[in-house]
Amino acid sequence: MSAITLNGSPHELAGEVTIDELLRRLGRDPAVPGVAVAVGDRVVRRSEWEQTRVRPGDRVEVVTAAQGG
Amino acid sequence: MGQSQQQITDVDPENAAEVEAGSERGTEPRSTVHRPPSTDSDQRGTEPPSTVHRQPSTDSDERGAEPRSTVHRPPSSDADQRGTEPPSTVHRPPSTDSDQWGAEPRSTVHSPQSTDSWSLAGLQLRSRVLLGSSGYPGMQTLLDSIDASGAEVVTVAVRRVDLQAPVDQESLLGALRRRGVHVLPNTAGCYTAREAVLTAQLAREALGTDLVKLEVIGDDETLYPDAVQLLRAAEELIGDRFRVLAYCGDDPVTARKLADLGCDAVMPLAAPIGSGMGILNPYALRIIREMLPDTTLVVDAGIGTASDAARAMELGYDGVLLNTAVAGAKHPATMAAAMARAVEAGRLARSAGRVPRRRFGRASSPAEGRISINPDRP
Repeated sequence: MSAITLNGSPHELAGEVTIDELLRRLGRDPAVPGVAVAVGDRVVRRSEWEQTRVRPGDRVEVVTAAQGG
Repeated sequence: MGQSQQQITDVDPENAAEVEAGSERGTEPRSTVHRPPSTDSDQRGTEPPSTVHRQPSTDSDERGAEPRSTVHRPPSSDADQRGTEPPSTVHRPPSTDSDQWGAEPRSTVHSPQSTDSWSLAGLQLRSRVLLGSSGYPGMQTLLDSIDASGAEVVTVAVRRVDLQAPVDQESLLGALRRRGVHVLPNTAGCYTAREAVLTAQLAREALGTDLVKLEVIGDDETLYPDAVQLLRAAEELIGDRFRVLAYCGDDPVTARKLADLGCDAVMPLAAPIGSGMGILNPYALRIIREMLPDTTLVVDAGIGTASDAARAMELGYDGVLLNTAVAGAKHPATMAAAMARAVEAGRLARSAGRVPRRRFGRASSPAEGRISINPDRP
């Protein structure tokens, strides 16, 4: 298996990558606020994005604020 | 005053709490009277200056386009045009936006109607309207509605980033921050304590706030909360130092349990989310208010129109949270303005100490000095 599940969809990954790097590859600047990331059932703090690696098979959620009541 | 002490046997006991609420008879609560001093309202012929600024009404049927007369600003071109800010109907100084999204921006919104302030989970607020951000015809209508309602707290959901969408779009969060409102994340869409806790944690990380509106849904049709999962989630989140504003059913026992756990606010529904049915069980809401006199209580969900919001405040609630009533109205910003006035009116009425409801009539004009054309009666 070489893919992670990213926001519910399979996403190909060549080996391990940090969360910072993953976001950059998605065209997102990790420094922009308002975003949170969970790997498995655990929230990964922004300060740990540079050190936390994502591996094939991981479930990753990248979330932000959306309209809601 | 010379009022005789009658035994009031025809007073509806259901009314008792509302009758007893309010300040000492004859003394106006300081913060609530907004008019220039003087004109004694007992003085014949003198009209107190009107507090309602009204222009002739011209109704419009176009959803999203506000009828000119009821929102006090020149007509805006396209109400949904992003980036166009019509002059606000709430007079507010420019927002001092902080670049550090982790820091809670200070609210710069001043509700012109009220000097009544309150505290909600550590936030100092003047408006008692909390607004949801969902279901508006466009971003501009949402922003207009925030302005018109005077809301200083706006709820948001936590959802996946659309990784396919272009990055340079104006974000909801950016727009709300620029408005200077407090952004309150919710756990909408969660059915278990586990989901709700993770969502709250993600929200805290993304928005830099400890506040969370906790919702744990137990049924897909009524959207009633699952009390068991809700209590479990509240306990865990409070243990993790969240400030929990808990959306709950109108069950006083669950409401009390939430308060006992340490929720910063308990927020019973008026009616199912989005139903617009107004307060279905005023008895239960009244009981909750009486059982929890020291808890911050907000009516959340099911409000349909302004009178529902006024009623919630007359029941002694500290605020209202509404979304569909405004977002789904034909003219959202107009309804938002109505809500601001209704909440203020309801709160004033509560503080005024209403007359009791009676089963029988009671003449308000004196019997003394009536003329008589009946020879049998002098």
